[in-house]
Amino acid sequence: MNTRYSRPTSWPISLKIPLLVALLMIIVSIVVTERVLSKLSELQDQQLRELSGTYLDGLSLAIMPHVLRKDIWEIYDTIDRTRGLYKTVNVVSTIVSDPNNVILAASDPVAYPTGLEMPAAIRQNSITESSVRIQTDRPKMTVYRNIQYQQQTIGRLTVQLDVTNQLVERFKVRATLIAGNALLTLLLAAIGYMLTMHMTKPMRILSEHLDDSREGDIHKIDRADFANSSAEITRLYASYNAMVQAVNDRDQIASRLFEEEKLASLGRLASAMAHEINNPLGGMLNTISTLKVYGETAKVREKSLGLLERGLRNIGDVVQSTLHTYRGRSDKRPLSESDIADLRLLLRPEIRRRNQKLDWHMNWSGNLPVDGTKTRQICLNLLLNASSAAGLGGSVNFQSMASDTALTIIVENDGLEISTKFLDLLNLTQSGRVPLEGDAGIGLWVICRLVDEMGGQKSGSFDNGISSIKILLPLKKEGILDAA
Amino acid sequence: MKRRTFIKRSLITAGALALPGRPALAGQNTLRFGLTPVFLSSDLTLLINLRQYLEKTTGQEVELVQRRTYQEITSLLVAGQLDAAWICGYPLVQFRDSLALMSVPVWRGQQKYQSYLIGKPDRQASSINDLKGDLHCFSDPNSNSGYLVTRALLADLNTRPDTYFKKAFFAYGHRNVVRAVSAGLAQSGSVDGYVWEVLNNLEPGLTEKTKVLWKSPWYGFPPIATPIAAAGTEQFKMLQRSLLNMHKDALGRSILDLLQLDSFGRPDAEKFSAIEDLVRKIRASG
Repeated sequence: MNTRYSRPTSWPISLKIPLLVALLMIIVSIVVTERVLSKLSELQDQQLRELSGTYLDGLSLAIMPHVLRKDIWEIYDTIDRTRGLYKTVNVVSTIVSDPNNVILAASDPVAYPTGLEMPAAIRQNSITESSVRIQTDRPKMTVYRNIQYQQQTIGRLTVQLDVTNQLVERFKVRATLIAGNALLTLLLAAIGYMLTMHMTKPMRILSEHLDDSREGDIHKIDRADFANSSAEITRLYASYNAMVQAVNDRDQIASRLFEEEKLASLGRLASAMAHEINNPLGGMLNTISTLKVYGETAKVREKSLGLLERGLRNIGDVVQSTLHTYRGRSDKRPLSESDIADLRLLLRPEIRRRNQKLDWHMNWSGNLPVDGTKTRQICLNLLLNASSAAGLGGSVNFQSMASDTALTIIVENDGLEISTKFLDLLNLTQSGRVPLEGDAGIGLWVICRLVDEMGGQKSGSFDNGISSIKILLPLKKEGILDAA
Repeated sequence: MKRRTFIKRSLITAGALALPGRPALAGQNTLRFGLTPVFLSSDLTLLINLRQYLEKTTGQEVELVQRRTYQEITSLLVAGQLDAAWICGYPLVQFRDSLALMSVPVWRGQQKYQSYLIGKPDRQASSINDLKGDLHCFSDPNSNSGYLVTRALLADLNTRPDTYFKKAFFAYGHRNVVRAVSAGLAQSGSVDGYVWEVLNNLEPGLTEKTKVLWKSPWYGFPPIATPIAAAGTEQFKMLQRSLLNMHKDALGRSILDLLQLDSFGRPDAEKFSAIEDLVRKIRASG
């Protein structure tokens, strides 16, 4: 059997119901057969008891005076004459004995000679007629009746009955019942199968359509299948077709939205690139202006060129990071002290332009085993956002603290309260999909996404006019990061 | 009388089944004729024909009286309760002073018959000596062929049936003796030779299950007897004439054919002397 149908529970209902009907019919037929045979057995037993009782009554009454006189001939003659009178009782042999079990006469005198003792086997196996019960393995039974005269037992009448006819009748009834019930069962099972097939046709049609839909081929139920269907089924088909229509409509909308989303994503990508590159460019252009004015001074020139080099490298890193984002891989390198320190220089023009106060605090130096590019990008975005939110004359506070296991970055600013949507985004476990609404901030979404990728934690709050964003990035083992 | 005629016609229509009921209706002019199992008295056609023949030839209403034993019929006859009876030679000899012979049937050209000792066909026996220890069946204690002959044979051996045989019983009818032996109820039996021969013709299936082991000497055939007081009366003569002329009448011949007899002849008392000898013998043996 196909493994798909290896378990009965997985069989189709069109097979299960006829099988269930057949099974029920078999159970019913077994019960009915058992009850009929049981009743037949009871009736046969009762009938045989009554018939054998009648036979014994008549015969014992007829032979009683002869038994009293021990008149051998009259006993035999009576037995012989009554043999043909009780055609309903198949008497094999009749034996009349005295109280000492000596045979007086028998219907078969050769087998049971007069004057001999009654065979012990017959005496021991004989029963009274009230105990008569037909047994399948005993086609013959021996029944006895004591012959009483004035409360004295003057002899015993023993009759061997052949119940083969009753057994044959029972066998015929059983065979007829079994054959009849088997035919009836098959007939009802076939009818059940056809009815089930007819009744489950709508289910099958629906099932087939649903199976097709699972494979991507969603189509409506043909109008031809509506013919000869009940109102209930017609409503069901109509509902299904309405659902298919809705799904198709939704797919079309989704497809359109997908196209629009694709365009929006491209726009957001362009915006992000511009955001990530344009901001450092401002600092770099300032540096070039400085070079133009103070380029003759070696110290200024050297410092400005270094700044330009790291800014360009940072732009390169942003481009690499973008490529990584879309390629699904990253060029990881450890975070260096200068990555963070450069941010201060990069931010300086914005701080100065807005006449803001920047507090800067770092408690570590050298390198940290955390993705430098991403960390630098996170910090830059946080600082730019904070500067933007602080407004003119505001203050921005930056803290970068390293422990043995993590790097903690805290960016605070006064000014505008951080929006609820920002807070929700920060406090989500996962950053989710890219925000469609512009006010959610592409920069903040990028921060959240990067933190999630690095396995860090993020949180935001607004308290006493201070907006605070806290990032916790786990430090990885050196080997692991270097090897990555 | 009209009532009796009506009943008579009804009973004739009913056949021999009415026979046992006739005595209650018998009147003064009814001829009461007794029957014993010396012949196949179970043949109802025979009984009907016999009654019709006797009524036709005697002009009297006839009642056929049957009893189970010879003794009952003999007692009725001796007591004058019967006008005539077909009895055995043994009761005739026993009540010689009380009974008179009317007629004796002629069988196979003579008024004699034999007693047979019979057994199963595979029985290897040829005399009473081979039957010792048997379960033996007699016909009737007052039957010559069915008891007296065998009793006399045992007297010759200085023994009696109850000691010679393992067990002996009476079947009260020669046909019953044949049935008892054929069925195996008895290992041997004493039976009327005439009855066995008739049965051999009529019911060969019954007699073929038996075998004649021994045949006795010839004895006087069971006779028709009357009470001694009725001898010589007109009724006696009329009934005797009816019997003696039976072979000359169509109905009578049909009766004789059923009985397989030649005719009814005049009696000869000397023919029963052999039975008298048997009686004397057993009386002497005690």
